[in-house]
Amino acid sequence: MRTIFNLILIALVIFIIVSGYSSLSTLKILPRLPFLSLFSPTEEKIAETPVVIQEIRHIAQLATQRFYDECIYDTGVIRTGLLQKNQRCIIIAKGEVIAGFDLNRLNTLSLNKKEKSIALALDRPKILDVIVNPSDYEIFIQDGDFTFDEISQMKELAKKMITANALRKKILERSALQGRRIIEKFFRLLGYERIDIAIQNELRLQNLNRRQAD
Amino acid sequence: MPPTTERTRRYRQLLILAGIALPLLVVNFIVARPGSKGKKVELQTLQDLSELATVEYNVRKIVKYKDESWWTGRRAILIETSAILKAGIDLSELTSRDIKQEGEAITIYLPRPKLISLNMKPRDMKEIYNDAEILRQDFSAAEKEKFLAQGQQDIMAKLDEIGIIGKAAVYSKLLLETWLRILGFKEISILFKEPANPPKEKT
Repeated sequence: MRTIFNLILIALVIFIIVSGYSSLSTLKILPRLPFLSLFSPTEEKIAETPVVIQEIRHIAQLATQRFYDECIYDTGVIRTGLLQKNQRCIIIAKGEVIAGFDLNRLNTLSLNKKEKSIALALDRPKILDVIVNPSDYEIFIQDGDFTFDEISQMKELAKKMITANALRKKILERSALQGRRIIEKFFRLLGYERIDIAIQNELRLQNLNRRQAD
Repeated sequence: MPPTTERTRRYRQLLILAGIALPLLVVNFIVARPGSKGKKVELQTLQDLSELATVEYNVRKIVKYKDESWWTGRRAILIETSAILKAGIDLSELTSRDIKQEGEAITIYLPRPKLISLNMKPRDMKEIYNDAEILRQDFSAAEKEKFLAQGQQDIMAKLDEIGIIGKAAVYSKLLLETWLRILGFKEISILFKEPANPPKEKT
């Protein structure tokens, strides 16, 4: 009888300590402990909500180059005071940069054809998309509290790092080359024998790449 | 050695150790460790593409999560998200067998339209509501990321519902028709390789 009483007493003391700690950590007086996640249910599934279409646009984008990269964004240790826990957040982002041509402005003035010859003038290629979706981010370390907006800013910085890497790898120049190949192939399939493709500022792409990467 | 002398010796050892550990602890608190801000891992790959995106959808989705327990209370979160989806055709699948020409008449068999990209930008997301009762843990950044990833999966699962692939078929056909007219073709027929998606009609 005495043993059972003691066991209950111990269980109660443990409960009071855990609950007390959990409350204090919620009030941000004490740091959060991982085992307190036992207080959360294991199955965490979002509720069903509709996908609402806001806009549909007719586009003509020829994607010619994709760059994959993975980067780590680390805030470093952020000192918060002697009696408070330091903050740090490390985010791993896996993403892709897509470059290509916006062909929306292509019109009769952009091309000149005569029998089996065709000449086409294109705008220079550009970065069409930088994609790092939620499933591509990993919050590797989160020490301390960071707001949703702060995390979003870190993610945007990670995207900028990936874009800079893509430009450093000369994505725009390679995009121009591949674009030329695709369009040439398309015109050849249509029966043209002589194809001239002029890409606006093609010679300046290298400098642009370098400037944007910096 | 008498027990009192032994105890005094141990106290002294403890004091010395504490004397060493304490300054180390203070130094650890005061001196900032250098962060590896912006450190990158070299996993970079470039890949050639030939994808023609012809339609862009801007969609919105509310990511909603709530759990309640009778003894610890409730916590809930609402995040507004938006995504840009692009769909179109892969021109690398176009071969000479897919194009038939006869004077000013042309028939093209285009590849089946597909989703080209889904882009959920962090700057387009907004936390509308986030609350955890006193005995509940706040949502961590990793948990929020998990919910957002579920939202992303949900958008992917609803592609048929929003009809982006069908719209891409219509817009790809329109775009190709415009280009072929500029090139001087008068009779244009655009069909899709797989029968399920495209509206097979002659223009």
